[in-house]
Amino acid sequence: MTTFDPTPPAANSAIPEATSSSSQGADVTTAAAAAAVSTKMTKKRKAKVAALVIVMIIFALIFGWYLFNRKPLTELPGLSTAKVPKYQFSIYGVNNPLGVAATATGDRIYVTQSNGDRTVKIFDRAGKPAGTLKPPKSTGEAHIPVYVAINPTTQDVYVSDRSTAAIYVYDATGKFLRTFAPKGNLGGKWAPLGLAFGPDGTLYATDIRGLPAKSHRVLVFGPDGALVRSMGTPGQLSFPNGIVVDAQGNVEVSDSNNGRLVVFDPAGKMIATISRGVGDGDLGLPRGAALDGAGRLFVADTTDHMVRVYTIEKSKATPTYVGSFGTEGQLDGTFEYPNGVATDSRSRVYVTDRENNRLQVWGY
Amino acid sequence: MKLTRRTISSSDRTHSRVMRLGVLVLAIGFVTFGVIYWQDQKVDAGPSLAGRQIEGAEAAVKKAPGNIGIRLQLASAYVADKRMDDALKQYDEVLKADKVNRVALLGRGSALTANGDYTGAATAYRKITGASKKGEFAGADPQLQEAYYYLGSNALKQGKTKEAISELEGALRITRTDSDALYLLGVARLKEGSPELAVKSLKEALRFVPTGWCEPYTQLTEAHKQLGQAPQSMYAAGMATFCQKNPSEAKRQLQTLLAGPVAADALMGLGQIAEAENSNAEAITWYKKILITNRTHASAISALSRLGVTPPAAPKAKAPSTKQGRG
Repeated sequence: MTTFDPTPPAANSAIPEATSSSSQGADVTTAAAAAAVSTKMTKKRKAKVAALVIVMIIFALIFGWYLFNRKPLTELPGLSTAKVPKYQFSIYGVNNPLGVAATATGDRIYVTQSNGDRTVKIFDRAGKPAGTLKPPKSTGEAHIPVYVAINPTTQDVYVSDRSTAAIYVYDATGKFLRTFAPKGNLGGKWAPLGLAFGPDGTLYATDIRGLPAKSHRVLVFGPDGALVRSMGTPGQLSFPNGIVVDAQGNVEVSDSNNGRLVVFDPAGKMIATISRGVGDGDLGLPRGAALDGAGRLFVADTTDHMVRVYTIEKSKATPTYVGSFGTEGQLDGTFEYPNGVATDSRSRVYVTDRENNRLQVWGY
Repeated sequence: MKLTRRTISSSDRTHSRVMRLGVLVLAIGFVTFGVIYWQDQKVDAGPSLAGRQIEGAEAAVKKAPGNIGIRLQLASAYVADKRMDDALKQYDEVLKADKVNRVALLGRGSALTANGDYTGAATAYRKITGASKKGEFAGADPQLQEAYYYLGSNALKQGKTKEAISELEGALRITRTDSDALYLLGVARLKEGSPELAVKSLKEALRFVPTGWCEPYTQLTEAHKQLGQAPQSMYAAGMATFCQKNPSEAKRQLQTLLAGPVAADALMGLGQIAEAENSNAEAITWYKKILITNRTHASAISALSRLGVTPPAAPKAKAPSTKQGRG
């Protein structure tokens, strides 16, 4: 049985008490006054309920946005003002790491090691070891994994190997699948290095075959492995390393030994460069590159011991410099020859800190 | 009237319930969100690189407390982590076993300097200079050179200019090309009131590190100003501007000097700026201009060679006369 509170609500005290001796006229006046008070209270109540509903909607929107993106709240649309990320933590236990890739959620992080057992180490989001990628013995004894990329359509992991001039393909569980076999005429042997994928599974690989560097180029393979296009005229690129494909389909390549970043349009025409120099945003020795969902381009500037951040805008071919993070050193947040960069969809930036034997995790 | 009051009262209760329920839902939502957010975003950074090195070295010292090398490693790890007092304890332990251990003395000096104890640091460094300055290899002893350098550097920080000059000269007797020592010597000489000597030292320092080092150019600007050498001072100021990452303004400053007494220096500076901007063709043009008036300008020749350009042959020196007798 429900028991009601016999005390009338406080608001009722404002209502004038009607007496039995009151005249009808007085009753009408009192009723009118009561009705006016009632209207006022209804409005007040409505306003309160509306305020509560608005707060709940805002909260539900934020909650929904968070569940969908899992990014820090500082990245909420309209709130995001940070130009460069902040240091979060480091993952140790890697030997001269070079390349890095992360799944969209950041739950699997792949790091290539150029020293020690020269395998690709897998870590979970918290930095705990979660496995190793190692090609089978049939592929040879000497391996140097350099760059790593994840095919967005299959989740297969592609690893370039400097020593055997090959790309090894593993499935998402770490099982070796095959050596990537390009279809089409590559014009002789190739030496793949930097790797990136387009959203449809098109593979972009930098090729550093031959010495001197006049044959260095970017090769584009369709999802079936067929050669689609070659980018870079003879002598244009020198040891191209990191590579990314932006939302416009332009390809940004760190032209390492020329100390610059080169932008190709989807047809392979060079449309912009960021050069070596001393000005803001100029480069020293760029290596790895990565792009995040917000259109931020990260380039590891190895000899300057920092990561440079640019934004890519539709209207401009040249990326706009916004800042850099890191200095030379061994403390948290400092680098000794950073090489690879990767991002995930949760606003994290992963940087291989080669000579400090660690992977640094930064975030917005 | 009763009806009205009852209606109001009942409506109030409903409103109150709705509000309470809403607030409760919101509160539960906040807590749930907080838990999810915290779990997602929490980062267990763990020990730093220095922390890990210290952990390893401490374990090694515990295992072999008498091993001087391991203790020195531990001390150096403490220094890297800016734990100077802990480092000093380790250096002291080493010095108990080996009173003239120069690595420990240098480390002790460095840690005391970091703590601001210049007198204590000087005592440590002087133990090295006292023991080694007359040794067989005193002229080529890098640790002795280091001790002199830090004695000079600390003396300069304390305003003891004469002492600084003497110590830095000691360092330079061992390594004549130490640009840091040359720079500090220049600063000391400027403070001492010898701008001419300061210019000499600073120019020598910049010969080894011509770009990317701003302080010598700033000091050089001042030294030339004190000597009343306006064009030279302007050249140094232009190079300082370049170093401070304003190449366009630096170019403008240097181009005003192309007709004056420092034209070659200005051309060299313009070439260096062009090189830094990756405009090698422009750099070559500037360097070649220097050789029009001075075909033996060593820096321009060296820069052209670096850019893959064979500089024009310098005029041949006169062959010694064969008629000249030997006796």
